[in-house]
Amino acid sequence: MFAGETAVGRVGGDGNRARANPAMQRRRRTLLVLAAVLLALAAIAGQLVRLALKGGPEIRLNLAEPLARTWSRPDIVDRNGRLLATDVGVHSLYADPRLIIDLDEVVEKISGVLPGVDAEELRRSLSDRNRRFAWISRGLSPLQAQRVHALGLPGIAFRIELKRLYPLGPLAGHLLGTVNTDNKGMAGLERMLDETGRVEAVQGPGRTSKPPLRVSIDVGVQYALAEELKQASIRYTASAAAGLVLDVLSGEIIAGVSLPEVHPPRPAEWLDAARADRLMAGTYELGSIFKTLTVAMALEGGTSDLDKIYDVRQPIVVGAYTIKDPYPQGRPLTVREIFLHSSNVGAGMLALELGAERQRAFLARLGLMESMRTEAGPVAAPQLPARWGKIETITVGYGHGLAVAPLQFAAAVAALVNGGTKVTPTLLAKVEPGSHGERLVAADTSAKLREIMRLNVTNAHGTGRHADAEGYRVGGKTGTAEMPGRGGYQEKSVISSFVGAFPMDAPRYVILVSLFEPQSGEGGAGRITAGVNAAPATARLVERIAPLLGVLPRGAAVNQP
Amino acid sequence: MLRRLNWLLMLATLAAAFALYAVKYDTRRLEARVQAQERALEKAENDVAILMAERTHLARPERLEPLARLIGLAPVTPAQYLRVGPTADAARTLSPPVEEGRGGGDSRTPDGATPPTTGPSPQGGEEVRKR
Repeated sequence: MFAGETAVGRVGGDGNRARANPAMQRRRRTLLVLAAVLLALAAIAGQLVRLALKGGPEIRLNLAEPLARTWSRPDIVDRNGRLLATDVGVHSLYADPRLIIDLDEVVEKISGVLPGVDAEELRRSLSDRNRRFAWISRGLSPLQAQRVHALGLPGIAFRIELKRLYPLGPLAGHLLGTVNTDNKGMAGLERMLDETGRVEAVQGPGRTSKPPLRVSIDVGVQYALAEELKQASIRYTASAAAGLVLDVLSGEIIAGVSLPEVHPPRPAEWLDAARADRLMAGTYELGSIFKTLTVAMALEGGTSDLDKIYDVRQPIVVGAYTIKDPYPQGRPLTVREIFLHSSNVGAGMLALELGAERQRAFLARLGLMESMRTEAGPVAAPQLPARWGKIETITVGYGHGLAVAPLQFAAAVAALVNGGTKVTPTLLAKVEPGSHGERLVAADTSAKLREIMRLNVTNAHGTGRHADAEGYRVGGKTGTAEMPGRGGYQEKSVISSFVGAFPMDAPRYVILVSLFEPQSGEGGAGRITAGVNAAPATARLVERIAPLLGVLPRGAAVNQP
Repeated sequence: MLRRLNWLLMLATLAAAFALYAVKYDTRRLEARVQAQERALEKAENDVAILMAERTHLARPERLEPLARLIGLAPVTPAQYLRVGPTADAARTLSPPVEEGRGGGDSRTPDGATPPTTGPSPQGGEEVRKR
């Protein structure tokens, strides 16, 4: 080997100078080779060190990846941590059309096992041999997946995907919203999760590590509200209903229901207009419950006081319109009595006394003139009269001519009863207890309003007397609004509402109950007004939810243990 | 000298190559183990999610209400609240603090073994829920 040759060269070099040159050359060559070998060894050593320190790069390739991306979403829990929505991994079936041997067999067997799969459509999507990926059916149940697996067909396989689950069914469906097949939020709070960047794009069934979203809803109260509204709808034959329980200080929506309900995972129900969210997505002329605002406006404007007397015996005539009371009392009424008997003429006079300009300014201060939004998206914008003349001032005074979303109206009432400070409805649970916001009306106005709202329920002549829930000091106002239809307002189709708060000595919750097109009332006979359907429904509701909300009854029982 | 060095280097090369392959295979085995464990973890997490969802589904109010009513439960009515009378109210204001060492033996507490702070008297005047 070269080492030997070098030795020979060296010996030769000693004896003969003429051969020294080639010997030197050989030696140089040898050194060069040695250096190369050393360099190679050093490279290997270096690579070893690099591997030891770092490890090789990860190379993963999956053709199906861009198609199989889903979104991992955090759980949604109620204010007490009860689960409302969660992600679970489910089997989804796909095919690689190029690997399918017998297309007919696959189509026949798969459509036999999975009844939801359309055979024609499946054949069409699998017959394109240039494709390497085609979904067959997503979100299979474990049993279905097992059956498909047992078919042993080549060219088809499963992927585990995330699927959104709503374990409580339709409960709070309108508020939660929905997701599409890729688990991407399409409506409600689910959409908010996407818009605020709380979802993660994932390739497999990896669940997100993001903390759950804690919403303001209380599952128990939400259920009680939904249940009471359902029973009221059956009892009074109403076509639809809406209800709300709102914290008067923090603005947290403790419960919000719109009937008929939607099941979040059923797309067809979201497209059904009859199932639209009546609390936030629809605006309505709410009728006499608006008189709460009119009286507050008159008190706040300084033009009136609870004991001021108005002559409401004659109807108000403006141009071609005549405003009269459905139940004329035949005598002048104080403001307190106008509220108690729900006099349209009285409310009109209160509104006229202030004038259109101040009425608009007051409603604007309460936030009823502009659109509002919650975390679940924008609330339907109020529909205001095109021109705000004398007749509009009167009709708005008793709740017609201005349509507003029930949630927005309830927020205004909450501000009026909580001492007079602004309330911003929210669907997220607040960590800190609610505190007073910006002042909208004087504390004195709020106190007077609370007094007459409570009086309307305790007084034997009050329209809201059926709303009294024993011990829980409910106060509020009824409203029976005729719905606009073909050829003017429809006397037979009304929205019966009760807006109130409890406990009235220091209100903690505002409640709103609206029944759409009720056909009967408590006791069966007589005119169908909110006093005989929405009011008793509210009483039942409060009796049920007050214990859940920790509101203690007063003066109810002094029983012996 | 050089020849020995060369042998040494060659052996070292062989050893290094062997070590490299050993490390590589080890790494692959470990990677496979990590992946298996990650899959197991994912599956366990998914199982937990499914069980939680199932538990919530089974404990949904819609299902519990009829069951609760079946065994005679109902929402609390105002009649089920008990207002502790003025005697208890007086007991709260009159009873000496526990630090005085007489708490356990205070004759005004309904239960001799219970110090006043845990008895019903401190809640005097408030409504107390009774079963």
